[in-house]
Amino acid sequence: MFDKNNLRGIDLLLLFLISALTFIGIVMIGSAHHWVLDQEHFYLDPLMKRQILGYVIGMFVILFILLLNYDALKLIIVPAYFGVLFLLVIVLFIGVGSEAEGDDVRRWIQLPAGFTIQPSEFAKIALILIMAWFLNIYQDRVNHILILLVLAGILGVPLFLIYKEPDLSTSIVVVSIGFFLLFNAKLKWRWIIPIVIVGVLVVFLVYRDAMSETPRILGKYQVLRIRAWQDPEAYQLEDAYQTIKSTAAIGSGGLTGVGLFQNSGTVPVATTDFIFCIIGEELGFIGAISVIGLQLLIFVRILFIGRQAKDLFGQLVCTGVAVSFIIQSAIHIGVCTGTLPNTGIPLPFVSYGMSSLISSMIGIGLVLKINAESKLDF
Amino acid sequence: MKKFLSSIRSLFGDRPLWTVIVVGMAFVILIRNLYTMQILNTQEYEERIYEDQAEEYEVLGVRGNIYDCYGRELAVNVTSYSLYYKPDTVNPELNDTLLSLMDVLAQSGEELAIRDVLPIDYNANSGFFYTDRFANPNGTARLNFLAEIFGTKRADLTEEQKRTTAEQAYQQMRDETFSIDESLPLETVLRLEEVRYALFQYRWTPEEPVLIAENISDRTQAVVLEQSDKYKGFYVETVYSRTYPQGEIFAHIVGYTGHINEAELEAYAEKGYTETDRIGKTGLEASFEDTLRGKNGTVKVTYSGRTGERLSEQTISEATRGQDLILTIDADFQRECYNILYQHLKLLLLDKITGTSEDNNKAYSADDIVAALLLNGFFDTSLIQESTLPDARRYTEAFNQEADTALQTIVDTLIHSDTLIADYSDEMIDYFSLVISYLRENDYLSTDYRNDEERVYVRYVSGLTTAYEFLEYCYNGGYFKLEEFGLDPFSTAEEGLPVILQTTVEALRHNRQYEQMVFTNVLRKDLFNMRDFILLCYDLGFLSNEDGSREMFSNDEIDLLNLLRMKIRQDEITPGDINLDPSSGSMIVTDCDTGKVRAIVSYPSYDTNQFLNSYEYYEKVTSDRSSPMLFRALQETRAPGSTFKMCTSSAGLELGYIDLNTFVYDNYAYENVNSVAKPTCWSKISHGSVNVIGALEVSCNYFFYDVGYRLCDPAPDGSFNDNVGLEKLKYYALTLGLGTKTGIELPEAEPLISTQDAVRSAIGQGSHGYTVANINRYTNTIANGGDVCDLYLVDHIQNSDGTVTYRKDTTPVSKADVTEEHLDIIKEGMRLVNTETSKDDLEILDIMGMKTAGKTGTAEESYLHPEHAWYTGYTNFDDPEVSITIVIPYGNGSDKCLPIFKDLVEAYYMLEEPEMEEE
Repeated sequence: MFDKNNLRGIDLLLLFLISALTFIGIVMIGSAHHWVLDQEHFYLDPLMKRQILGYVIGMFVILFILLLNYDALKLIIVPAYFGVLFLLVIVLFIGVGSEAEGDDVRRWIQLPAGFTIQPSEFAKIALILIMAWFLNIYQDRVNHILILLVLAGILGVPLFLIYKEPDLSTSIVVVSIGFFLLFNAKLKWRWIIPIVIVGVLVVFLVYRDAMSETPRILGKYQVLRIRAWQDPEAYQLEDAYQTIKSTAAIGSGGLTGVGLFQNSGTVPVATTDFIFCIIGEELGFIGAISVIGLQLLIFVRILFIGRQAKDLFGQLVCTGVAVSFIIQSAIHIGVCTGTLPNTGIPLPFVSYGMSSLISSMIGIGLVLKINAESKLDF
Repeated sequence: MKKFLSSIRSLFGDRPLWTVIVVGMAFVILIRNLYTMQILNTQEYEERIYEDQAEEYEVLGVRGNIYDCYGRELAVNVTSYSLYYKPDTVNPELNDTLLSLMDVLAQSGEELAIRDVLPIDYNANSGFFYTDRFANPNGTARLNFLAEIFGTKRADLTEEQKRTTAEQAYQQMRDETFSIDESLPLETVLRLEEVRYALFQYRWTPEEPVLIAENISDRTQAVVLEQSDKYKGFYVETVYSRTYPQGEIFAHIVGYTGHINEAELEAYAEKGYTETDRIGKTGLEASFEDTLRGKNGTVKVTYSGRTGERLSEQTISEATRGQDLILTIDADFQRECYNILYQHLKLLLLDKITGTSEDNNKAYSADDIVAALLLNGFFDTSLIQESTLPDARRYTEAFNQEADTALQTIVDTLIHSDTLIADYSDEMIDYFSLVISYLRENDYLSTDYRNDEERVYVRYVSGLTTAYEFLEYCYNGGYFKLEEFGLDPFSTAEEGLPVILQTTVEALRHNRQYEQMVFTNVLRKDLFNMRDFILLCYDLGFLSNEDGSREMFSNDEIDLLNLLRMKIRQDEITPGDINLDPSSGSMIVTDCDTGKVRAIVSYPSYDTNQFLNSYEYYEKVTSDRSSPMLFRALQETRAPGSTFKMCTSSAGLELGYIDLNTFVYDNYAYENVNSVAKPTCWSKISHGSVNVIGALEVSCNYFFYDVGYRLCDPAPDGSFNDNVGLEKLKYYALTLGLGTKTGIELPEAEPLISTQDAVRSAIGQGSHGYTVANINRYTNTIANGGDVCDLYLVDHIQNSDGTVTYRKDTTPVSKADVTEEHLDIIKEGMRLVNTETSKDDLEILDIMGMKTAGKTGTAEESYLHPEHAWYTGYTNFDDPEVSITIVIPYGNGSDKCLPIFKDLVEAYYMLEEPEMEEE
């Protein structure tokens, strides 16, 4: 199952890029958590420590994946999928919510020593794997209605469980992953176009309904968020509070930012859902663009690796990981800038959250593996 | 070209490329927005970072006031400060903070508002003990408490924990639950435990503030505010509370306001009440809550984020000022009336304190009075137990012994004795009643046992069973809550009753009523000398020695009987304190034509100001067995006796059963009844032949029995159905405004028109029950010639600027279905009552030129007590002005009311308009 030869041909560039991003994240987390860089009495902020721990664990996981044989990798896909489904089910019963939202929302499973695990993060990886695998096998019949229905099922079950938590933002990411995987598996335009049209229509109708007098589709919180997004002034003390504070923070960063560790402390939930605001505030436009640039580089690099993959499976895994990563970033930045209604989503590699970091690194591990594999053949 | 086209095509098909393009477009939008925010509009955002904090504040509304008819204050606002605490505050030094706070409060003579919460208590005599329902070791109350202090669930309590004694509970709370310093004195620790325990109860709603103290002084407030870090979590709220300048004179009418409780908060949620609001609880304060209430308003203040200065203020909702009530009553006259009633009650009582005890409360000995004062808490048994005086200790020792032996006697008697309850000694009856009330009050015994179909119960009511028979009946009928005693539902009475009784008597050992009974019995059995007891009362401060009475008594210059009489005459001991018949009374004075209330008095009463400010006083009033809080004038229904005869007369005259020429010969005992016993006239000497006027004048029962009989349309053989007559009496009671509520603005009891025994009902016995207000209203109807008016207290309601928003419409609500001619006949009878029969008492009025008319009434209710004394009358006969109705329950004879009527009429006519006081 393992072979140390598998360690050859690792794409160090990608490894470097994500490590850089993680490092930036750790520093920003410290800043957001009011950490002080005191040279005399040096200490590390607890959140930073955990993030570093997550990174180290992630690196071990990457190592593990790389050492695994390619074929062995494929063997664990189906068990992993069902394992994740199991976790998604039990989180609905014994899960806990965040401090802000309480136990109406159940996204985490409590582990000993105060750690938590977020099943939906790992669900994304499992989904990418199983859909890529499935599409690889049936790639010739990808346009067949039966195949599409099975795929809908494979995607739909975890999607439904995630939506029930409720975790709308992750659901959206999962849907996007599914869509782009199909898209890259060469699903014919005659399917793609209707799906896109229906998607746009649904979004439009939901938006209309939420803004109307009697919203019926979405839950109360989500309706409030959409309304607050459209009219921040009216909701300034409640639901638009976060958006107003976060956009103000970014805007006040100007071109070069207020300086590292100089953030005003007015951004709520700054270590997780709004960490891009800290970047925008402290590092300014230049810093923000740089980080975006870094992310786009990672994105493109992964897709490039995918292009060179030896089979459709490898290509689709890379596509899935890339899309998952970049869509999340886009949504996160969209929320921070007020471009999108408020929804809690972490910025991959940057936001505090061990589940998110580790699962992102699993994704990178897979990509690196696929890359190494493709190099072996030449 | 083809190559170009095909390369376009392959571009189209390059799915990854499209993916990058879509993502790219999304980021273009995001970058554009960033550019706008960070480059173009950065200034704006910079300012926004420090932007406005908006906070909402409550602005207090002002409650409307209540005034008498001349504008004198009856209920007015006073600003006071209440101290609150937020239970979710984190304070590891909470005990120290509380100790300092209690000190601060003590320095200003203030008290904590938290009282009576702790399930355990301590006194020097009994040590630690569980209180009330916590006394039951198997009860859910006790187990829940233990679970709380041991930090576990009720189901997880160990056997050892379940057996925790009160002292152990005290220690557990001190050492574990609340970590209180051991070295503090016991009283202090106990007090701290109480406060901590009270706060602990709020753990499910930690954001809700807890009231710590009310009416705190400026000094206390300053201390708390200045040392806000020491008193973390404490804050002061300005509230408008009330003061009642006329105190007990208007206590029942005006009522009082208090803090809103959970149930009220739920019921009134839509009206915008918050947890710290005050709300009217009784009286007009409650029934006119909506009118009086000043709604709180909200103001939104915006502060600059950067500089912190106040930028703007926006009123979100206006605070309102409630409306004022102007009553129909003249406070001076009301005060006169109250005093007249009180003085007469006092005299009546003094008349009965003859020194010899007579059955059925007809006369009292000195010992009776002392026992009554003990039982009603005037001589406080807790203070006796806590005192260190040698005599007090001796007395307490005797009490301890007696208390313990009596408990065993009780259990023995209840289980083993063959004596019927009717033959029990007074002492045993009292104990037995106490056992039963304890079981009922704590829901251990359901009142469903009161089933008239069950023979055992019926016999029990007449005292014809043994205690055991009755208890067994309850046990087998499933009326006991067996789980509370740890008993199996399938256990037998033989197994279970001893358990229940043993648990009950143990709980009763520290029950206040039981203690009072035993202390009384100790005196009665001469286990402690009465003389020593009286001297002890002086030493404990129960009796005042300002009049030098202690020396007079110890020198034998005055005996106990006369000492007590002296104290009563001096108003040091009141009829309410003694609570022996007669200890209460009520009266009402209204305008005959309109029903406007001039005075309405209920004795005993209480001082609402003290009630709200002193916990000691509050406890005394709420545990006083003479029920000072009951508004008897409107809430106590009694059999009316002969005052009902005007109604019977109306029925007889209107329906043609009698007329002016109908004469009946008074034969003393009336035969035509459906009962075995024959009712008699009150006078053993026949009244001779009387018509309706004569019958009213002398109040001849026989005449009216006959009318009652005739109303039943008896058959030729003399048999009749009571209901026929009762229906007719009911009709006239209703049409005259007697059998319906008076419409007054306060809660009234529903009048009861008799449904039994037409013949006796005709003279006001049977099952009639009316308040003094009901009788008064129907007196008005008769006096004014047939207009039935509602009685009313509120003359008008006005805004703070004086605009009148409501004035009582005094149009009569209906016209009685009795002709004026017939009413005149009845009135003539009533006139003669005052000028002839009651000549001795009322002649003086006639001489002074006041022509009055009225009717006396003596109603029997229970053979264990004297009869009720009623009187209703009006003045002026030729042009009726006001009617006056008085009742003294168990007053023993209507003639007792006559002097009161006389004094009241005099007072009414001597009224002067007061000098208008400046507002």
